[in-house]
Amino acid sequence: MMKTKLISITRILDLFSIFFFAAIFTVGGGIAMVPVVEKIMVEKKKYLTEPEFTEIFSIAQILPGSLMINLATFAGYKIAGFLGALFCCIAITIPPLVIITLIAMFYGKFIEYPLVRKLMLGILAGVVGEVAGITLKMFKKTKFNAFKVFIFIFAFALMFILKINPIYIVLSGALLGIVFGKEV
Amino acid sequence: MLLVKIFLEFCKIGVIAFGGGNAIFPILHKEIVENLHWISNQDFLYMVSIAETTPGPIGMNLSTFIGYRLARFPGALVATIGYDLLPFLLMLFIAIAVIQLRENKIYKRFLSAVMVVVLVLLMRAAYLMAAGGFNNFWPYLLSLAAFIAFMKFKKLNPIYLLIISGLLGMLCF
Repeated sequence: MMKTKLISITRILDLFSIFFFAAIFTVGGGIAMVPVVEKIMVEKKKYLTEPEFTEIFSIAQILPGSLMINLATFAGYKIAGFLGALFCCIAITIPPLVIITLIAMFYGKFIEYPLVRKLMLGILAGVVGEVAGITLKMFKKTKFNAFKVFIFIFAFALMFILKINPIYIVLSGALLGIVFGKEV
Repeated sequence: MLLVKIFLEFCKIGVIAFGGGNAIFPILHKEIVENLHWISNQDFLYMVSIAETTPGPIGMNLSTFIGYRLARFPGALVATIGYDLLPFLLMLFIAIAVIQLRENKIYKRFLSAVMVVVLVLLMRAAYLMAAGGFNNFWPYLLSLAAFIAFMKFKKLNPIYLLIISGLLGMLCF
């Protein structure tokens, strides 16, 4: 009993540190954290399997609210229950709260230094590369059948050619899935 | 009273903000600038530019910023907690439901299609970040290098990769 409690406490602290450091170093919004969190939780720590992560990420992405709050809550809950969810959320909230409060206090003066801008742009470039990487990785892991190929082309065309609001694309994709999809 | 008002306002924004990041700019602008007149349009644009170029989820950055402007640190704190709270509760509820539902046929069909749509959402996110932030050829090159490193070195901690990218940006851009 004592031992399992101890394991779950160290696990929660570990989750806390993963999300905390992910929130400090990812410029470009919530989605920038996804490759970081995936690599650490799936490949390094093996807290989640690849399909589990993809499922959690997909659900987090299509629900209202901040993507990272959703992802942290779901992943935290799955790995370590309610406290896991709570601590993951606190972990991603502290860095922006501190950083932005400091910037607001000094009216963002240091953000305007060219060197700081270059640092942030460099991180953003890294983030774009990592997001492209995880997209390709998930693409390769997807077991495409005729239906999924159709959904991909359908969503791609609506998004990039017709430029429809993503919420409608998600909803119509989900509906098509329920009606025509297969349980694989 | 102001703190309660800030809290409730950001609770609302937290749930109506779908798609995170850039999707919440128009919603925030309408609520905070046009309806409530809490901050000026110019201040809003300034905040957006900062929220986009600092670490952390963009919506959360904006909440903290606006809350601070209205009521200093207590304002920042209640705005951020308000913004997080309802998505947290909703997601918790859905996480519990989904774990029960895993073997449900309709859920599996739903998920099989949604996972493919999410790939397209990811492509859009990468595109928007690059289109909005990259001002010349060099960031694209650095992105390509980061992409290759991310794919090739499986053991490399992605946070180190971001730190290296940032330092290279400082040196080369």
